[in-house]
Amino acid sequence: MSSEFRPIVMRANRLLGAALVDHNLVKLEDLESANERLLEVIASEQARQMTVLGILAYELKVVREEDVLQYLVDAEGLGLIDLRNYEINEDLRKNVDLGACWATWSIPFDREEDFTFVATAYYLSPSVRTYWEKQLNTPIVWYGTTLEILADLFEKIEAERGPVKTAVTT
Amino acid sequence: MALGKIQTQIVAKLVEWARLTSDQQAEIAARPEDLSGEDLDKLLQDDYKVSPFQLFAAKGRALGLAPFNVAHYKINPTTFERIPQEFCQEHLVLPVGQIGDILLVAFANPFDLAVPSKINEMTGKRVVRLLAREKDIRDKFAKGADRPAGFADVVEQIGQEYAEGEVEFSSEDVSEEYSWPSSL
Repeated sequence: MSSEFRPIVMRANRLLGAALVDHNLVKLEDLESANERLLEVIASEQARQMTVLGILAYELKVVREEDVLQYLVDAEGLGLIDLRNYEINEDLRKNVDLGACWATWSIPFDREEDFTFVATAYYLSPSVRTYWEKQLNTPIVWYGTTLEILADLFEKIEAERGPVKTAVTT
Repeated sequence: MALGKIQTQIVAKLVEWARLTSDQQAEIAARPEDLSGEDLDKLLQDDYKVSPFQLFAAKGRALGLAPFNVAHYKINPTTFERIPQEFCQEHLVLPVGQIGDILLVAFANPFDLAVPSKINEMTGKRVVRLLAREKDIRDKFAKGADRPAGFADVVEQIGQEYAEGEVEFSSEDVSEEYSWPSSL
């Protein structure tokens, strides 16, 4: 992931963590441990693991992603989406900035009229919502989904696009 | 009173999205005649130029459901694994995914509240409802019924079974109850 997304990663995770604590989904001391671990992961540049939610759910095991998603359905009225059998909009698939997707754990996946559908594992992070609202400049229909579904899709799109070409100067 | 509760909420959503003004909202609410659901749809689309998707999304929000574009869902060998196809056709529902123990089901008729309970009893899974257009669900079933299993379907099925096999293999490597999914 390009370093230009580092501030977005930091902000997205910081605000998500704070929201998880605010909504009583995670305890403050667990979040503090997860944040320490997140800094190590960010230094290692492994995009798939740069997520405070993932650390809380799969390393510290103090929250289940399903419970966060159920909270979004019950409290925020959000829909959920499983993108594994969904035809992603071709234009979005070809042109979406995957660095931004990894940084925000979100992806615009469909369009209808002037609406864009965005799937996210980070709905509770206000900075993530603001980022995509500014980028897309359309009304957005948000859907909650899991880190795994998103990561698999990002990797599939990366594989379709092939290796990133590095400019060669002579 | 011209508008019912849900109809009032639909109009309010459209105001919230700046698709109608407050004056237009008051104008619609002040109409003397009772409007059926279809009448209101027609009125909003013809007289107030609300687009079909805006209306669909507003209905969803009024009912507390997210809209789901069934036309872009790919029916696959696992679609009817938990809910039989006959049940889905009878009740105009379509299972569109699963997240852990949550089943995602698209409903054409969100007012039939017995169906989610039946699905819950049948599957033992929590059900999250999404709102679908009835025509999209009917089209999906019609396409499925008309189409013989072709080479592409067989290849797709084999691919999925192969992928499922890979997932099983990797999950066996990890013994803990909650593991990082696919090395997240």
